[in-house]
Amino acid sequence: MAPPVQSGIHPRAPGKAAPLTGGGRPVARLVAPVIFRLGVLVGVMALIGIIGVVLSTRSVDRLTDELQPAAAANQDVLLDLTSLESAAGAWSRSGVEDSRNTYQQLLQRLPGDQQRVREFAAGDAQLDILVTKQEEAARAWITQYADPLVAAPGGPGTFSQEQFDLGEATFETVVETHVATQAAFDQRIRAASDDASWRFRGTILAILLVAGFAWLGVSRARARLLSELSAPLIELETVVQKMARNEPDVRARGTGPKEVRAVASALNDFAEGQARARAVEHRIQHELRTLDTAKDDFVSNVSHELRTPLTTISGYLEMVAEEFEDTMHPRHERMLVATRRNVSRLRALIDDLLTLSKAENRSTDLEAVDVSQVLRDAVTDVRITAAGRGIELAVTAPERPMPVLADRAMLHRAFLNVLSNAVKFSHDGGHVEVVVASEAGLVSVTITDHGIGIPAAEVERLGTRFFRASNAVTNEIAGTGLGIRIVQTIVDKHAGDVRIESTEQDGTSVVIRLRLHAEDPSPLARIMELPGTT
Amino acid sequence: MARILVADDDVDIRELVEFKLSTLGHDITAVSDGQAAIEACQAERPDLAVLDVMMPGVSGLDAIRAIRADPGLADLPVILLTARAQESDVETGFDSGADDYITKPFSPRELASRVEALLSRSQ
Repeated sequence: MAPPVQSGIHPRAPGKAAPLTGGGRPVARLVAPVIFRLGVLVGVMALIGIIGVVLSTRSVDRLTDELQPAAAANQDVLLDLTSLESAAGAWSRSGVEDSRNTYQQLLQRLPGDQQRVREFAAGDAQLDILVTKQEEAARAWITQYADPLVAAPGGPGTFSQEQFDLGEATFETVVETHVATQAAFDQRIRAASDDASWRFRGTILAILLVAGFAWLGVSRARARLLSELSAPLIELETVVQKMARNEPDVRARGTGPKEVRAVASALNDFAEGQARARAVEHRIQHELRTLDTAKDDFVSNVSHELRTPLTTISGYLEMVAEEFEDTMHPRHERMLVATRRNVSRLRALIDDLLTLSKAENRSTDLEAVDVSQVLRDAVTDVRITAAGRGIELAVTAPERPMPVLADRAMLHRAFLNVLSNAVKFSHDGGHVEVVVASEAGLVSVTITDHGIGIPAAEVERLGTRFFRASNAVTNEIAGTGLGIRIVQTIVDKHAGDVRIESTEQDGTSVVIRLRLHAEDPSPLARIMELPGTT
Repeated sequence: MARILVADDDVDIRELVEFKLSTLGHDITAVSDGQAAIEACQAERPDLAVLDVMMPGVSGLDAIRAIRADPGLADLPVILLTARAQESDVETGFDSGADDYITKPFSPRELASRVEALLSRSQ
């Protein structure tokens, strides 16, 4: 005997599910290093930027705060000396006291300016030497020429060619040393300017380099994320699509990050459950089919066994009736008619039992059929009988097809039974209306007669095997009591419903409703549909 | 007046058919199984055969196939008798080479008219 069907959520069957390697890094741990590295790179870029700006600023500051004022001070020194020379010269030529005063004032100012230059030159050996030479030259000019000149009496007639030459020569030295010093200053200003410029460019270059590394890093991280995260997800999607197409033995491999592995594992569990349920369903179906076949064979054998003697009986009865057609005593003729009527009844019973048995089996020949067409065929089948009693059949059906998934022969039989009843229970010369309509995915077939109807108390019992309405029996209307049962069974098998409304002496209305055949369900709907739920 | 072979394992049906067809003036040979039916056809070359489908041993359908395999009997008109009323069985009957198919319980009058119709068509 088969093991009981597992239902509900079951733990993952060890060893049965596809072996997942387990573990795997979580997505967070996959993404975190990338974000961390990116952060570090951005930090480094910021640091380089700050350092570069600080260094450049310092370089510019040295230029503007120290070098340029020192160079200006050096120019002031030359200006002082030139002014001293002018003042000394003016005193010598004119002897005006003002000139001597100017000289004395300028002489007071010179050490201050010289001091400013010296302060700057203090840390620079080469500049220190130059500044010292410049100061020595100035001192030599002042002590050897200018001071003695100003100390001596000035005015016309005091000119000494010898002294003048000495002054020219010493001042020449002053100018020379100053030019050398100023050149050194200029060179340092240029160097500082270049330095600032290079620092700025270096900063930009360094940032660009780091940005390049960052770009490389991001590209590599992207490729890695793609292979470690995206690829397993895409693979998982393919697996889901295959499962949706009901491909057998499809399992997820379970690679990639932890979360993806968890989804793959859950999916495999689901597929295992599906496969087990499908296997159970197949086994049950197989057993049902075996039972159905056995039942079919039995019914077929019984019907054969019953029909063979029936053939002989009805055959000979027919031949007797033919042979004694005009010579038979009316009493014998009545006996013969009653016998033949009951043989027909027996035949109808056997037919209906066989039909009911077939209808109770699972429908296997389901196809999309047009309800209106099947109905029209059934109407054609009863038209001759109806016309014989002057009964009119009116069909109202939409032009467009009304497709339902059905066993055509069975559906035809259901319509035929209802139509036969409608004609059978109609009064002579009556009329039967057949209406096909559709709404909200359903198609309804309404067959209405205006015949003898069914007593209200008996409507509920219709469909019970061999039950016949009392007024049908009273009115001696033939029937097996299986017709409506057959209709209900067939319609049930097609997932439809049958509604019967009747008023005695007024008529009966039978409504058969069936589901319209829609398009194929979506793959998602199919995968979510557990076996056995339909 | 034609020579007709009747094969049915049920003696009453066989006699009913024999009786009905002989009243129409035909010459009847009656057998009770498929093998006898094949042999009778080959030996007597009848004008028409009425075969029951469900017979022990060789069934009516098997008998038709065997008869059709004989070139001399390829055009022999054959009517099948069966208790089955399923469409698929009717199709199988025609596929195996039957010319007509009549379902039990049948009316002897109907059988007679079908026999006459087939005979007049084959002449």
